[in-house]
Amino acid sequence: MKLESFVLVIGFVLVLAGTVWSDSGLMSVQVKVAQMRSTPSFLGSIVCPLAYGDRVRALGKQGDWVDVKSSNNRTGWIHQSALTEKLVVLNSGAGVSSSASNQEIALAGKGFNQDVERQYRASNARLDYARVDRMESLKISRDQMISFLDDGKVRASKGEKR
Amino acid sequence: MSLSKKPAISRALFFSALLALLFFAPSENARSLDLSDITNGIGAGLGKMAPGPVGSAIKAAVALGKSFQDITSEQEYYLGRAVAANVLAVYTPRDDERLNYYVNTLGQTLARACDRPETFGGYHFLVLDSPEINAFAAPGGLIFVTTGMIRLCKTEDALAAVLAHEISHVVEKHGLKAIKASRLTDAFAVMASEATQNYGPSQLSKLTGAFGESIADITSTMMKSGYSRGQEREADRGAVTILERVGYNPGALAQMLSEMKKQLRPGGLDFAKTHPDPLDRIEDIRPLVSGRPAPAPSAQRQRRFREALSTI
Repeated sequence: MKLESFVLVIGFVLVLAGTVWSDSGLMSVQVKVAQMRSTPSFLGSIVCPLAYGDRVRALGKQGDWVDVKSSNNRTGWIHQSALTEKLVVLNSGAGVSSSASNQEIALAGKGFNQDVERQYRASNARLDYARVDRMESLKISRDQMISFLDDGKVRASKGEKR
Repeated sequence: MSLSKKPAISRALFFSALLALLFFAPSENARSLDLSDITNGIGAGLGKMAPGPVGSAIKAAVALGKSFQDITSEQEYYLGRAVAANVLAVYTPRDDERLNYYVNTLGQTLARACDRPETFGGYHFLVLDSPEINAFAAPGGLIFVTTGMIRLCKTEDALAAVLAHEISHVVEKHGLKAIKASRLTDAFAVMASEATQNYGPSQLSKLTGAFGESIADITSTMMKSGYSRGQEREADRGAVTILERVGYNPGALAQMLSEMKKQLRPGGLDFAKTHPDPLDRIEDIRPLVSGRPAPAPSAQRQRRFREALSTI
């Protein structure tokens, strides 16, 4: 009897180890577009962009930055705020696993979404969403940031991250 | 050793192997997101073993969300856009390209150094044409600052302090925390009820109702009643951290606050109404900034600051 339990326990331990190994490293991109960078810094050069819902495997971590591998085998760094451990499901209409809870998945396009915005806009016609769109379109690139900091002689003191 | 143990051990080994099979089942493809992904990936190993209608439309038993923490980055984005649209219904933007470009370059660079640099749609800034001394941060990173507030700033470091304070409100999700729990209960109930992407008219109108009420909660807190003193302290603390990380003078926040103390009219409708007394805030941040050497000011930085603000 004891031997049987022992074998079972060993079996469970192996299974658990396997689960942690295979699942905990998977993360989803939770922002519209995230840039994978060559170094753990926003001033690092861009390796490639990743889109909302893309999944990456976490290889390691340094401060707030996660060393990741993308599905097309590119590796680089992404800030942890762009990632979620939940699985972002883009086409939730196709059916969703019955056992998944909201601790594990985030349904893209659910809840307050584009349709809700459309309906809200329809009943609040005075709101100037075009101006909001214009506001969102102003994006400052990494190179612009670097020269802004250099030109203004803005220098981080030693040990500060940025 | 009796023989009867052998089958027991074999059985145990068999079950272990079976379990291992379930969990080591072919790993998910990192790119394609479909049902098989979910069944392979998370917990639902049974889908692998039991042949049957796994792929048939299964109602999502998505557990009910409870609080602002269950608002996804995407939903935060739509809430923020609506709050921003409401700010623009009250204030007129200052359509000065050079000024807005400058404020965005400064603000977006600062945002890179906060604890939540990546939001769904990113951080964006817009100057409002108003003599009021004010600034607002909509959820997700749409940030507004009035010309009245900018005029108070004597240096780029001071303006950086104002923007860093607003960025920190976004980081801490203070806007989302202003939403009354009942709105979210309503919204999450609709979300849990149906798995399909497109809502029916009644569900959509329920959601839109909860959405509109959430927007009203946020805007009235942001523009009328103000955040709690604790939240303002949190935003000030975050601002000091950002300034230090980027290389601006963290003491600029205290300088800015004493300037505000001089200018704010007691009983006014702007920052005076929605924020604690500047002197109290200076007292709160004093322990965070004292004792650190301030970075050297730069003539070039001051020149570009003056140029960008030349029209206001």
